[in-house]
Amino acid sequence: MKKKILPVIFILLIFSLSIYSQTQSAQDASKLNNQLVSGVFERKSITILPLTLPQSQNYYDEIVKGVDKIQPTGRFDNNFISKLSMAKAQGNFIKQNLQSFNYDKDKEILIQSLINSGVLTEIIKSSSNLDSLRARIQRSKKRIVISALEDAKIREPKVGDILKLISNTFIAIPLLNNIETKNNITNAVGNFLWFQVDISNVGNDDWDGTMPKLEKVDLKLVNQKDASISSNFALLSDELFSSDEEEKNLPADKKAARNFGKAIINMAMTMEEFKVRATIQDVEDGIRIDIGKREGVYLDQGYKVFEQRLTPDNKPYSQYMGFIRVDKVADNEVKFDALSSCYTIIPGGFEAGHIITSHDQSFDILIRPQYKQVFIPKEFGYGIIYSNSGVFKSDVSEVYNAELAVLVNAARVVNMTQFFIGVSGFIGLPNYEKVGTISGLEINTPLIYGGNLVIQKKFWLYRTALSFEAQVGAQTLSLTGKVKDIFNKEVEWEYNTGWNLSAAAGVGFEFAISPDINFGLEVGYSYVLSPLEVKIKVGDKEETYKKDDNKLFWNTNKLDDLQLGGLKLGAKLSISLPPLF
Amino acid sequence: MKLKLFSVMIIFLAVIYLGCGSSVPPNPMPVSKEITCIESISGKSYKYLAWGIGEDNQAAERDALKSALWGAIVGGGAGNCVALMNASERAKANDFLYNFFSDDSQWQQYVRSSNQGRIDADKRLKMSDGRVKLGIEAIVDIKMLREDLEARGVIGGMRIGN
Repeated sequence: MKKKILPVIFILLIFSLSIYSQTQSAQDASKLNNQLVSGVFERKSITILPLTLPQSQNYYDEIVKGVDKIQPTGRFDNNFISKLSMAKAQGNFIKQNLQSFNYDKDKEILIQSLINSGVLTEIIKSSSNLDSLRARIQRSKKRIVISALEDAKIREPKVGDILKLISNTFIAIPLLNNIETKNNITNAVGNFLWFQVDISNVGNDDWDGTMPKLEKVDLKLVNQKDASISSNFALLSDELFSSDEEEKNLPADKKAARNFGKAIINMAMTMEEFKVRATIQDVEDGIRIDIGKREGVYLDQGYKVFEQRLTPDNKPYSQYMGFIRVDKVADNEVKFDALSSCYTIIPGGFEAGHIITSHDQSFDILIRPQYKQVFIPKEFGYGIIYSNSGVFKSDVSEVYNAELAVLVNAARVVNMTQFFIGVSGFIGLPNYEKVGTISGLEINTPLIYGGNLVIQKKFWLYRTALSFEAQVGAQTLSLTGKVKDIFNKEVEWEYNTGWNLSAAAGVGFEFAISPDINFGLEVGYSYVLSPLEVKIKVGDKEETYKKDDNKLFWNTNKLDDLQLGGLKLGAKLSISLPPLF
Repeated sequence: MKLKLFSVMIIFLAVIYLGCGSSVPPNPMPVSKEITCIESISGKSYKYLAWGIGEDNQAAERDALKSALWGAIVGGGAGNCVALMNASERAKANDFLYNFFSDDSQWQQYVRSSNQGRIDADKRLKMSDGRVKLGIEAIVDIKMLREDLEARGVIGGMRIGN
């Protein structure tokens, strides 16, 4: 009965998740539909200013080193201030002697200490130096004069444009409270705070090229999150492929502190203020967009598409249309007006003029219930569990698997769109009948479990993908239970086939429910080597029996005929997570 | 008999209606006329931010160009660009303007888009009736337009004594 219920539960789970995700997508779309999504990409300046509470000030230098390791991206202007100013800000904040930090309670103390230390003035001066302002004004212009005969001028900036650039200055504060170790895992615990410079004065006059007078400058909180960053944290997929020997050898507490400094930038990827925005320029020859390398666009980056609309009473709003990904990044640092090209994941009748906003993702979690054909001879367990028979009433030919995989989009590494690599683990429940019961012997449900390395490639055509997958790994068949020993004491036992190498290949279809959720079906075949050894553990005593030394045992248990691989059919639900920290 | 007569009348009216509908030419006049003067370029051209309305992007851009030209000739937009026609000239120019905008070879020589085929961010909207509203920067050659309109007698010249 249990075995029949399990596949039903799996299927119900998948369909519930599908319905839930559709509801969520509709709700998200409806929320966005009431807002106006702008397509204007204004490049922001970011200054990262690490701080710590007094009890963790020993880790300040590590956090600063972590911040220094953050790779620059074309999405922001990274603004660097002197280490001396950063240290002054830290020193001033430490003097406030806060033992814990709660933003609602302590925000005035934080902001005042930054203003009093002079670091806010330096940040504004540095981010709004005239050369930077002139360069950013130039980059924000979309057309350049390309011919001497063309006498069209580009509108000169107003003072208001310059003040807008200055107030596009953001300060990110990774504020470390404590380093904590629990269950052998070390975490840096604190807060990630994002502030925007708030300038009160406005200006409609033409800009004369000098620094405008700033009447009142304040800080406005735009985002904050409690953060707990592990010493094992890896930022996005790039970190998995980089090597830093010095960092690898750091003790866990320093590594956690360093990761704490690095991790704050991930938060920027999901903040509305920093999303890359653009306009679709062409849909005739593929989808082409007016951003590229200069804005930090990367291969396979996802973008949501919106259409700006007017209500009958002329109120503007944005309608979500669909989802696209980049398949060719334009080098617009060399050719100013080069266009990147995209392919469609979720179609929506795209037209030139539609607005796009970036939708960054990190890992994909795959949930896969499967039906698999196997061959487990009924003689399995002969002489071990029962003296004159195997465990099963008849040969077992079916297994119900639940697999969980974590995949990373490796497009940027292999220069191929929709190419994923990752790992998976699964548990399988054979569909079997036990021979019988013996008093004092408890046999649990047999399990097949294992892990794989996975590579996957998808080809998309209008919301549907054809996916190809290969796996290599190892798996084992395990029987466990309890038995009473000669002293009538209950001891646990285990009989398993050791780790058997496996390889699998499969093909499937996926349907994009939303930019983050795909649902699909797949078919494949796996091959698993027959066991070369078995392990038997009773209580604390474990013994390994190798095939070459135990031919009789192999024959009576028909272990050469054991085949844990076979044809597999299943469903899959794929959920893409936002950049994590 | 009455039913027969009624049916004949309905058919007759339907034929008249469809026939009239099929023979009405599209209105060549700009629809939007929503413009903002951005600047004068060396005194020879005006640059406008012009909004156009049409069935698709192309039609909306065409309407935006016409609207910019309309603004240069007749006025009515925001900003400091001075229209070529005064009030009395405008009152007498209805037929001229209709014929002017009906002939693409006439009006297109005076106005062009400086967008170079690009659509600027936040300059395209879909209206509630399904039409597209598109904003472009349009440059009107005021010098050439004034000379041609003066030569045609549509506007008075700027010479002393004229």
